Formats: sequence, C-alpha cells, structure tokens
Amino acid sequence: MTVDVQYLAKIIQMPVKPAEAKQLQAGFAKTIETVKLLNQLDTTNISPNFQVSGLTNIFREDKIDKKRVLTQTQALTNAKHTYQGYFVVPAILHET
Amino acid sequence: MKLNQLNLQEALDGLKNQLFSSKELIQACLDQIKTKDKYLHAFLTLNSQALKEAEAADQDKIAKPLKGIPYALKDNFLTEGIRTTASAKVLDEFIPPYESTVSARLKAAGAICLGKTNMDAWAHGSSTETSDYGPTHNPWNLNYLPGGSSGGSAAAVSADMCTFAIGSETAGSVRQPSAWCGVTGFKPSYGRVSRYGLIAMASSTDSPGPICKTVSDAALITQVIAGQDPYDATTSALPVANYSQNLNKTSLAGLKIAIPQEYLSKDLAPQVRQLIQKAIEQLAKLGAKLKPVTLLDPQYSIGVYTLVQRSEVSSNLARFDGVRYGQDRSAFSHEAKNRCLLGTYALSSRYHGEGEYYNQAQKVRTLIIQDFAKLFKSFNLYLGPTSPGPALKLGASQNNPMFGEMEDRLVEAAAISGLTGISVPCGFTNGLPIGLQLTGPQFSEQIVLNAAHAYQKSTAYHLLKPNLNYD
Repeated sequence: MTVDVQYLAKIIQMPVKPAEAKQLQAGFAKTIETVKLLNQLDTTNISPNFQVSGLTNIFREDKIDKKRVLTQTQALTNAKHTYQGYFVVPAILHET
Repeated sequence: MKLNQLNLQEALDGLKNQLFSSKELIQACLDQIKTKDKYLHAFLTLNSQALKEAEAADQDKIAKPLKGIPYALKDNFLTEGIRTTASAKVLDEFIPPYESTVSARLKAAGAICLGKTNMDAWAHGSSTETSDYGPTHNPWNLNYLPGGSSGGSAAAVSADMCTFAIGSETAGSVRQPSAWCGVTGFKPSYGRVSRYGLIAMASSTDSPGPICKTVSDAALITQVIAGQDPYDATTSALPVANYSQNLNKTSLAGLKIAIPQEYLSKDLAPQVRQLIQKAIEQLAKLGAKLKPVTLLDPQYSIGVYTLVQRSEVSSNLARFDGVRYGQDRSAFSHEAKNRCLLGTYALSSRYHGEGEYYNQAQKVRTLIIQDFAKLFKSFNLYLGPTSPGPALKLGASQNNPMFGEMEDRLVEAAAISGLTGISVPCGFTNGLPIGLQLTGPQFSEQIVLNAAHAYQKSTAYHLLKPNLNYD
C-alpha cells in the first residue's frame, strides 16, 4: 500500500499543496526504509515500552490549584477571534 | 578577561566578592549580543527588562544560588510576558500567560533571562537550520551549522553571549549542538527535570538540560532545575543531590566505563576515532577501568526514535489549530508537516495492518532498554563520540528527511531509554570541536558529572574559545 499524503493531510487538517505532497511522499519512502530495519530483530514475547519514567498511577488531590489557573482574560489574550469573553471557532456544521 | 567570558563559578565568585555588579555582567553580555549576534543569529527575542532585573538583583539582600547571573533560554520554554515561538511562525506573536517550571526555578534562584534562543522549528531537527527565522551559525566557523535543535543556546554559550544556557533534548538536542559548538551539554535522565511549560515535541523522551562552559557549572544548574514537579506527573520523587558540592569527593578509581564498539564504527570521521581514543587513555590515567563491549547496533535506535518521535509529534501538534493562540495550520513549515504526516501514517488504522511499525518500534525500544540494563550490571558508564563527526556545512540538512536522526544516531538509544549523559569537548578537527559523550543509567547524574568533571579538569579543550572577529 502506498502512502496517500493527501489522505493523511486531510485527517490531521494539515494543508499540503500537490507539489509538496510529492516531495513528502519521496521522503517517506526513505524514512520507511530505515524503519523497516526494525523487522530484522526478533521481538517474540517482548512487550512494547511506551514510557520510561518507571512511574505508575500518579495522582494529585482533586483540588483547584489557584496558582495554575488562568483568568478568562489571560486565556483569551492570544486568541485572534473572541466574542463576549469566548473563543470564536470555525464552523463545523453548515446549512445545506 | 571580559565579564561575559566568565564561567558560572567565576561569575558567582566575582559577584560575591563585589568585584563587579550584576548590572555590569548583564551589560557585558548584552554588548556581546549586540556586536556578535548579527553574524550568529543565536537569539530570537531579547528580554527588555534584563538590566532592570539586574539592578534589582544588585539591591537584593537575600542569598540565592544564581543571583544576578545572565542566561539564555531556548525558545520552546514558555516565559510569561516574553514572546515564545519555538522558532515556528505558527507562534510568531504568542505571548505566554504562564512560566515554564525550568525558567520559574531559575528565576526563583536569582538567574536573569537575557532572551530566547533560536532552534529548529518545534525542535524538529539537529541543525537549527529548520528554524522559520533562519539558521544560527557556528561560532567556530560561520559557514557551518551549530547543530540542534538547541543550536542557538549552544552558540550563545560558545560565543560568550551569556554565562550559561538552557536547552532541551528529545534525542541529542542538548548534547549534539554542545559538541559541535565546543561547550558542555548535560542531559539529565527523563523524569529528572520537569517538562511543564516546555512546548511538547516527543513527550516520552523530552528532557530539559543545561548548556554550560564547564561540567561544574552544569552540576550547579541541574540541581536548581531538577526535582519533582506536581505539574509534570513524569517527574521523579527521588531527592536531588547537591551535584555541585559532591563533584570533588570522588576520584575515578574503580569507575568502570564500557566502550561500545558499535559507537566507534567505520562511518565515523577518522579524526573523531583518534580523539576518542585519546580520551580513553586520559580516563584510564585518571583511574577508570575501560573495556570494549558490544551493544545493539545504534542503527536500530534510529528506526525506533523516528517512529516514536513522529507519532508523538503528530499528536502534540494537533493542538495548534489557531483558535486559542497562534496562526492556523497553514502556517506550518515543511519539516513539521513531514513529521506530523509520517506520525499519522504510523498511527493510522488504515495502514496499521501492513507492518505495525509503531508496535514493533516500541518492542525494539524494550530490547534497547534491556541491552543497557545488562551493560550497567557490569559498568557504571559507557562512552563514545557524541556525534559521528564535526559540524557540517550550512545547507547539509536540506532535502534530507532523516538528517537529524542520522547525526544523532550515537545518542538516540540513550534518549529513548531515559538515560542521563553529557557531552564535553575532547579535541578539534580542522578547527571544529568534537564532543565526548559519557552516559550512565537513569538517575546516575552524579556519576556522569563526576567522571566528566575529572576528565575536564585534566584537559584544556573547554578553555579554548572561537575567534569571533568576523569583520
């Protein structure tokens, strides 16, 4: 199966122009070749490792830490579009 | 010697003995930035309040471990009120509303942030050439790359624009630019230093670390920034030792250092092998016992790192949608697109049945961790070159989708296993510095620092400075 760059771009909403898609596709082939080397190793009965902290089930008190909370104004400071104290998001539903 | 050229210990002694003020020290660094950064491009944003903060430090009567010391901060650490871009145009106008734990701890210790340093955009690279704001140049030769992704921080230390700098590693991004710029770069273990407020790259390996003029300075900075943080659940509760004070307590007698033969393979630049051999002899003179060993070929760590990192990147960069902050997703540049798309490919159910690359990579990660665990039953540390060669020329990373992974192949296995390691200068080839890496088990910071300190005290490579007369 070849890598469909435009399909991947669509699912992560990453705009990719056709010429760029071609260039990316060529790069992927090279990268996947390196990754395929991993199949040379026998991993029968080996568990995958997803994190190396050695820690499990780290919890915190279910209390609000006021030092860490942003005010509404602070939270909105970097937003390009706001309306009455809220973020304005692109529409995802349209009339047909 | 000018004030900006002082290392951390010298600067602290000078301030303590009132030989100069923090304001004079900061001014010396700002002057250096003003005259040299037009050639190097190490900084993206300067802290306009730095001199005022120095004046306040000079008046402050409370003792603090880094009071009045100027440092440079990689631009992926959030700084409240100071623009933070991670060298990506997506965040061109982003002013963080809160501070990273690393910079907050440095501030509490009295250090003064001079400004934010250039890096590969989102830390995606090992050249600082993928910065959306243009590359940083290597202070030893302007036609060469500084390495990366913390290239701006390494160049700033090398060119004496600051007393020390902070970088971050995902796999080699502190140690490799330190090697290429001829300075000392220390990567503490994964979980030793908080990632809170560090713009996430690959969350399962991201580790902040200091870039310094000496190992002794790195020890002092690490003990300030290390330790458990309630805001980062991966940080360890293990107590942080007084790394700095403990440095001179031990000799290298009895220290067992492995020399993995795979790290001295044929594809190294020939002079690199000679310099590492010389370092081996030096460490032996200091009392260490060194022995050749065999490890898993580092080529496998390239594949694991590539898969894990791109998968985590594709998830971490999903939050940049232009709604709460930043530009929309059309502002991403080529390398970020490359990594996000490949990560999405690795994780996508549509392709999952074909090779299950991601699961295989995480299984090989276990094999690499087991390989190191076996090694460290018989040895305290292992050594090798930090990078297969000296700095490469500008342009080397372009059109090479695996540039970073290939240049970092000797430090990737350690990074994906959460180990701690250091790069110290060990010589030069064609006027460009070479770094020696010493790497130890997770949370063996003191052993790594002790060995590197003893080596550095017996050599003079770290004292050599680049000629900055570029006119």
